[in-house]
Amino acid sequence: MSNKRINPLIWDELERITDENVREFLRELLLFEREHISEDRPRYSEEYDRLIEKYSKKMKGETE
Amino acid sequence: MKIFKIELENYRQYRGKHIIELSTDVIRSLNVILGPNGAGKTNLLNAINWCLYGDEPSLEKTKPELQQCIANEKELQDKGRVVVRVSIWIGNEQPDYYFERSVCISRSSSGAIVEREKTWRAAHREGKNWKSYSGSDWRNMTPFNILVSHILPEGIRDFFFFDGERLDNFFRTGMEYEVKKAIMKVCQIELLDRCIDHLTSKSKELRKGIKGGTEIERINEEIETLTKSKKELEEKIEELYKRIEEAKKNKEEDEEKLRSYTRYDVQELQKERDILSSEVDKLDKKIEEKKREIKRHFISGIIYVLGFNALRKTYEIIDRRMKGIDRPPIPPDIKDKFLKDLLSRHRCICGTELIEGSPQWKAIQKLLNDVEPLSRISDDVTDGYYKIVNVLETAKKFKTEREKLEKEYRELIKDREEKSQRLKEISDRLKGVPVEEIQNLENLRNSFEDEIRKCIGERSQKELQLKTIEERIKSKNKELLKEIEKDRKQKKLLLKLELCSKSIEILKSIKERVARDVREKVELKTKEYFLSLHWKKGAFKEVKINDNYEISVISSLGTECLGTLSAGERQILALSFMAALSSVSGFEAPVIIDTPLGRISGEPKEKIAKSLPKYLQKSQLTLLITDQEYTPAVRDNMKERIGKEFELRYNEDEVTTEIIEIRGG
Repeated sequence: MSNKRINPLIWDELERITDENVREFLRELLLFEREHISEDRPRYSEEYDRLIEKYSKKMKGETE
Repeated sequence: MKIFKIELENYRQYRGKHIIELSTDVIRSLNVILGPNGAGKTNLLNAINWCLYGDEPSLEKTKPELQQCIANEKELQDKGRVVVRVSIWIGNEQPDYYFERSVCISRSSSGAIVEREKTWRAAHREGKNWKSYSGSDWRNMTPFNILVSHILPEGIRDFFFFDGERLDNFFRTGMEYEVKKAIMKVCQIELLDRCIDHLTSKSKELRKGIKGGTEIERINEEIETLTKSKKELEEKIEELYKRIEEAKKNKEEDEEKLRSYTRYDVQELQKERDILSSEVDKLDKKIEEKKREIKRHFISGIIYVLGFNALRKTYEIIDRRMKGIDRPPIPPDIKDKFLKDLLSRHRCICGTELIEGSPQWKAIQKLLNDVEPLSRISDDVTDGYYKIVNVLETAKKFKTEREKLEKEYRELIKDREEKSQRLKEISDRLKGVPVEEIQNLENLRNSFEDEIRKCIGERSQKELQLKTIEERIKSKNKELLKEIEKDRKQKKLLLKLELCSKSIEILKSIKERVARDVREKVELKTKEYFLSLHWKKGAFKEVKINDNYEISVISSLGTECLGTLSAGERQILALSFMAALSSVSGFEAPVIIDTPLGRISGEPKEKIAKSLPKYLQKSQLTLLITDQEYTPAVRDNMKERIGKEFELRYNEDEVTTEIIEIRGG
């Protein structure tokens, strides 16, 4: 996943998250926020719903 | 990211078309644009801002007439209708982004400026192809803004495109909040905040969807109420920060007026107040530190305080017994080892052989059985006695130390009271000066000071409340998760909530670590740059940025001297801070500085010329510079980094500025 627009100090911290699922989830969230950094109130709701749905399914204990 | 090319068309003094192709070389990434005052240096910076962000922040606000028309006046006069256009190509190894903004300007019959056909274009490279966007409404240019934000979001451009002469405002009183905001924005901590905010909102929505028992609903309601209170508190705290900042600025302005007032006595009183205020600030810090020290000391010795009377009583009892007062002394210390030795050697000290089972043998064994417990008790009591003696000694030392600390604390308080009293006297004297303007200034200043005090108190209270609420939300969330877990039907929702809660916690801890890391790095770099750029070797020893983002400069004598720095020194500090910020920022944007050496003279100027490009070596640096700044020595110091040099030549007859490339390419 591309990281060239995120501060390496933040990106490196993400690398240290041991839970791979949470790590990927946060990477996607950060890239989304970076893409919309110029907007005061970006429309985040749908994208967050999509990502929460996607990554919660991969969580341990999901029965579906 | 570097600027490859800028094209200007009829923008202010740039009549007709003008192209400037900057150096994008990795080593020689410094561009120098030389021009006398009025030739159009600042307007070149304005043109870049206008194209990318639609405004001209470097325009002098004191000259509103300048803001009316961005078209070249002569062209407008001759043709009646002018198209103003600015285009910029930006990229890494080649242009990857293109931005263009244009407007058609004419004059109505009444002479008013009419702007029409406000168009924009943006494009970026995707593999071998370009993807482009365009529009004819500046209010709706989202793709353009998103592409600009890839390079340099609007909120932080002031830290990359700036006027060197105005930089020192950054370190005036009351700007701590601005410094904090700058660091947060430039280092992208804002991204983490946004993720946390958005995940919190999503968690709220998810909790609403839970149809659990009444207990879950109750906890949900509680969390919702707490979250609402938290939001209100955060807004209130933000508002208080702004009010404090505003009041500090106003107070500083009033004091500056008094400092430079024509009456000598007023000036002197204000100067004395400056010194006293600084001393009172330092005393406040010392008092706080002393309070903490007393607290730490008290905690470390609490055992002595609580147990002192009991230990003292025990000591007295044992002491009396050991000395044989009241009762016979504690039995002599007959060591069981001695008796065991006799038995093992089978011989008494008188020489009699001890045969196992003989009456003598049995007598010694009996003695050993009787003495063993007594001997242990005696040992324990003796050990305990000396331990108590030691503890009581330590307790005495603790008491002495506590008294010493309390004395020091009282002295600090007394000193502060005396200085506060003197400050009050100064204020009364200023109010007593028979000049209405001074009385008004003093009254205003005092009202600002009251406002600051009031707001700081309120803010501390609110911050404490906020912390408590955050703790309660955290605990309620845990409670909620436990409740939901009971309900299998809510499993899916629970997983989503778990994901959000876990992510929020991780993001908060990342934020804390990154913010601390960034602050420390900026502090270290600012110190390194400032100390090496400053012309007085050894005059300063430290530049610090504390947890509240207050910057302090410490002299070699250990005194804080930010407030007494000259304009040139403040400019150096600001340049050092900007360079430090750029080195830890998350943006690889070009840096453009207008009048970078304006307030600096002679040798320091040359030193900065040599060092600044080195500090910003990862960035393409463009300096908009005057003849006075760009001396041969300055040029000589920069020459290894200079990629291109341009000269702006203003032609009065044609009312236009020509951009001439004089070296490089």
